[in-house]
Amino acid sequence: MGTFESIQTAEQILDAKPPLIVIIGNGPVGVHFANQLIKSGWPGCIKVFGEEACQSYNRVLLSAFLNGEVSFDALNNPIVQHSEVLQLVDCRIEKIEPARQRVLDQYGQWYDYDKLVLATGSSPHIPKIPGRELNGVYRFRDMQDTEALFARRIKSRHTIVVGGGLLGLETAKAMLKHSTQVTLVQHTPTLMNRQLDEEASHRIQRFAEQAGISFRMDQRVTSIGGTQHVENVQLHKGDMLECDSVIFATGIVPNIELARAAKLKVRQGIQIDAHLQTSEPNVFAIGECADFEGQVFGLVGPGLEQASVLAGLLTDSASNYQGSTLITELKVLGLPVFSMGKVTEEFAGEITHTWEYQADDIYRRLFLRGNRVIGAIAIGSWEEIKPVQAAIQKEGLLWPWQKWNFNKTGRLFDDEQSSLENLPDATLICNCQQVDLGQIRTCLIEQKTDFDTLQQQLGVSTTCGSCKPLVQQLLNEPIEQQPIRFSLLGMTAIAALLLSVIIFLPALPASESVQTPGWDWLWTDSLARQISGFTMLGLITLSFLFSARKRFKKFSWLSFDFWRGLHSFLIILVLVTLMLHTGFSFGEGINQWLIINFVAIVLIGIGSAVLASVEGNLANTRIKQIKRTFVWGHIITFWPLPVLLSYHILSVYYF
Amino acid sequence: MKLTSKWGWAFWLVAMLPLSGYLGTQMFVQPQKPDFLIGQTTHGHHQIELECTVCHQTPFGGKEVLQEACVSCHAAELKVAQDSHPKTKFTDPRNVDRLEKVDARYCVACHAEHNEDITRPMGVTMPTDYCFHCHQDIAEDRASHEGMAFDTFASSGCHNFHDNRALYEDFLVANAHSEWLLDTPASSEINVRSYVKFLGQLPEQAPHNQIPEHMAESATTYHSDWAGSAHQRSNVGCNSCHGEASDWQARPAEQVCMNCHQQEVETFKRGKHGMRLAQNLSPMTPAQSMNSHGKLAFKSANLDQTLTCNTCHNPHSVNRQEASVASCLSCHDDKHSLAFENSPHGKLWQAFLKDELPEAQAVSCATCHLPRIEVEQFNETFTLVQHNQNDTLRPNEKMIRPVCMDCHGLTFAIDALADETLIVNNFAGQPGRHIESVDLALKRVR
Repeated sequence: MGTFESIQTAEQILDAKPPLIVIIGNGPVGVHFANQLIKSGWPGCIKVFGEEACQSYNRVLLSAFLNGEVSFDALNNPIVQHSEVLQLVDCRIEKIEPARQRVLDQYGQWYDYDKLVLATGSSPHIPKIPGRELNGVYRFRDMQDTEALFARRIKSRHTIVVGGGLLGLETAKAMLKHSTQVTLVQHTPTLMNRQLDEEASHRIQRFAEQAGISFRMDQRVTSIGGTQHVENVQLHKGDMLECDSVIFATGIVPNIELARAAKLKVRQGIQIDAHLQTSEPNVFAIGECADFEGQVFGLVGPGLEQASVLAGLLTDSASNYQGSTLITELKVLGLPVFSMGKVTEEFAGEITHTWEYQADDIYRRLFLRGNRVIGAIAIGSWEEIKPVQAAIQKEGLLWPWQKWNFNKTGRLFDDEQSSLENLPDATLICNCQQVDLGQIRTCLIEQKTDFDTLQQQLGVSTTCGSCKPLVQQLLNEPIEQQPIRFSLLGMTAIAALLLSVIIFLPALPASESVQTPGWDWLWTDSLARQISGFTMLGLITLSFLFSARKRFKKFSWLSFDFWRGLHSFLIILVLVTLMLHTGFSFGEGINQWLIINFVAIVLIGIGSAVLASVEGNLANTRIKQIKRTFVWGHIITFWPLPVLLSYHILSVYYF
Repeated sequence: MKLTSKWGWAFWLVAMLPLSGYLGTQMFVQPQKPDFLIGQTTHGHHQIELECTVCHQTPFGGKEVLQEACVSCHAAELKVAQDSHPKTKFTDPRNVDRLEKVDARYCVACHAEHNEDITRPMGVTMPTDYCFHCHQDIAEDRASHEGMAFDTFASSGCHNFHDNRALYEDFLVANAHSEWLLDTPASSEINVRSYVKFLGQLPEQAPHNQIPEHMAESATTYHSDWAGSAHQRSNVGCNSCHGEASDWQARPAEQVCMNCHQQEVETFKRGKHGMRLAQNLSPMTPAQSMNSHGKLAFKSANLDQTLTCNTCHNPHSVNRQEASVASCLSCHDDKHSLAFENSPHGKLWQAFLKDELPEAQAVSCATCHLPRIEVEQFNETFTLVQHNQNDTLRPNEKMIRPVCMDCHGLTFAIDALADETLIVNNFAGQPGRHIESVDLALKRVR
């Protein structure tokens, strides 16, 4: 019988109504799952089994604890206190009987379950090297290992760490205390080869070497020498290193024996589907023991994600598990290291190109498929980590100017994307209603407010709405990103096509015969030209309704999008009429000025329309800035048009 | 700055003023309006195209005012040409339905200006088969025309729209049987002297030549040029043209010449050489005459030579022979001009210069392009030189009656003028093609 850690009495538990859920494993994933379950309002009883003889703790922090960075208390990772939760520690489950829905503990006690969740985690993988059973050979996985290493570190003069992965590096760093010499042996040419590329690995190595860790790269340990105690380590290239301690950090093996014995389907780990269910109904697996589509995640992040998803699935019909993007964000010897998504050789087929930025102590590399970002590696701090993570998560589009920016500054997003608060007050947030950052800040200082009231007070985002994501960002509200406006983009494309026809097509030739009349009467006949000319004047005037909708607050009939669409559509009609009016000829003198002026206005208008189509989607004040320039250009180039047009019309009748 | 503010819009409005002012001044004040020139004019009008008011005489005038402008320059020649399609033909109610096709009451219906892209030979802006509009059934009346394309009527030396003086049926028949070269050229002597007498200003006495002191030295050269000239013979001395010594005109303008040579100066101003002077513009230069259509070749050294009376006629020696060929060739450098000296016509001119031939049998540039014409004035007929070099030039059938037929038969003249190669080599050889118009006329009459 295990030790009862719950505040509940045995009677209460036995009386507890189903559903009864049993969680095997009280590591970070198991605990997180239990907590999520409670939070989601699981109606039944929860039993959590842990085999270690201590309270649940945060394994992830063990290396930091060994290093002395965090205290023992910080390791504590308790399950939320709840009347229906029972945690049993020092109580290993020996057997599962899915047919009878019960599990057997090491003390011979059977426990029934309605739902069983396996969070058995993994064990260190120790390669079968001669001498591994000698004294002074360690592994680093749990609290017991930590205690052993604490003791060892004081005595050790030379510790060999085998394995240049994340754990190996952290262990090596932790072992450096007390002038211990630490050598890390890695079997590949790069460190953290599952997360990093060569350059990142070199940077970490250099950094670690400065801290005092020696490296033997691209070397395998073939045997460990010594009589009773470790004395040396033999490397496959012939070197022999004298040492007194060897720590294996050579990866993990999922703990699947329990599942295998119960005839659950296993591969590398316990097979699970999108509902995180194993081959048996009512039996689930999460964390490092689970195998989703052939992939076992050896990091805590995906495990926690799986725990959250499963808790959701068991309490309501939340979304399925889609697999996890691997994120590694840690500090090695104080050096920030970030790796996420598809960055290694195994994804070489997907990665089409990469963007790189290097500075003294900064290395950043983005991995793209086409123009979508699918992975990133970074050494050194990167204040944009969160937006970059978000971008990779949804495989977001990156724009050419972002590449330019990234190559130049190492920043992917504009300053304000990560820190809107750094911008000056004069920065316009809402182009339409001319609301700047200062006005919004004043409003925010006066009272805590939400988007709707801000919108009422300042009129911000009432017109085109493209600044809504920015305002929401300011208010720390969830951002509603707007879709790309494809209809506007489509009309822009049509206008661009017509415009290029007008610009690049030579003037149409006149008919060669009166017997088969052509279409040239359209642009040679006086009446036809007057009709097409005044039609254009009318269309252009109508297109100003858009400007009125934008500038006059009283004019709020129909949506801004509608008027912008109408504006574009009318200009398309003007372009078609212009072709009929001119026969593609630019003419001379004032007529030429007029058409050049008009073409310039439309050209800049097209630019601002393209930006308007995407700005709500990008939520980026740099885009807004560029668009503002375009809109200004559109207005300024319009300046001579009324005069030129008036004189054009006047001249037709004057002469 | 926020454009929503009143000041923004005010600034916007104020900013429009300079452009508005610039265009307004040009449109309403300046005589020349280059920015309102919406396209190059035809070759004929190119030299004066910036002088908008020549054609656009009153603002908002519309078609009628434009028509008035055309008529004010071209009515006289159309009358002389006995225009085959006069306005009266189209104001006739019986032809009112034709106006829907082409409103031929107005010149601009066919000669629309400022349309360089669609301007065809003779300044026509209609497709070249325009005859089709009214004459599509021609084969029913004239069986011989069956199968002829409608764009060949005007281009083959058969018909012109306006001037058919040498092309109408009776004339063709009457002159059908003539030799290609006539035995006795029908050239007449010019009688400027008697014409000037009628103007009443020819001095009786030998001139008393008074010149200002500072001119004394250079005057000796000019005096020897003058001595023996027609002017000397007619008692026209220094002061006749330069004025009194106290009011000396170093370079007398064409108005001075006009005192005696009214007809010559008037016709000169009607041609391309003098049309700028007619509009009180600076005299034309060969460089000015070239636009995107007219790429006539000129001697580059004289591209900027201004063209007044004195350019061709040395004012002191007033040598007519020099003005007939040498003056022309000092500027004109096209193939036709360069081929002149070695052409049959040119050789006759060389023979005349060597006194081997009488002038009446020689042919100069002027013989064809500045021909001697009969002028009726003061109830008298004078033979004077037509100084409008365009008068017989386009379409070239206009040259047949007043010029070619002085020496050549009609059939030959029609054939020769229809042969492009012959024109380029300045009529060195026989026509390479035969125009059937005379044959067809004879067949129909028989």
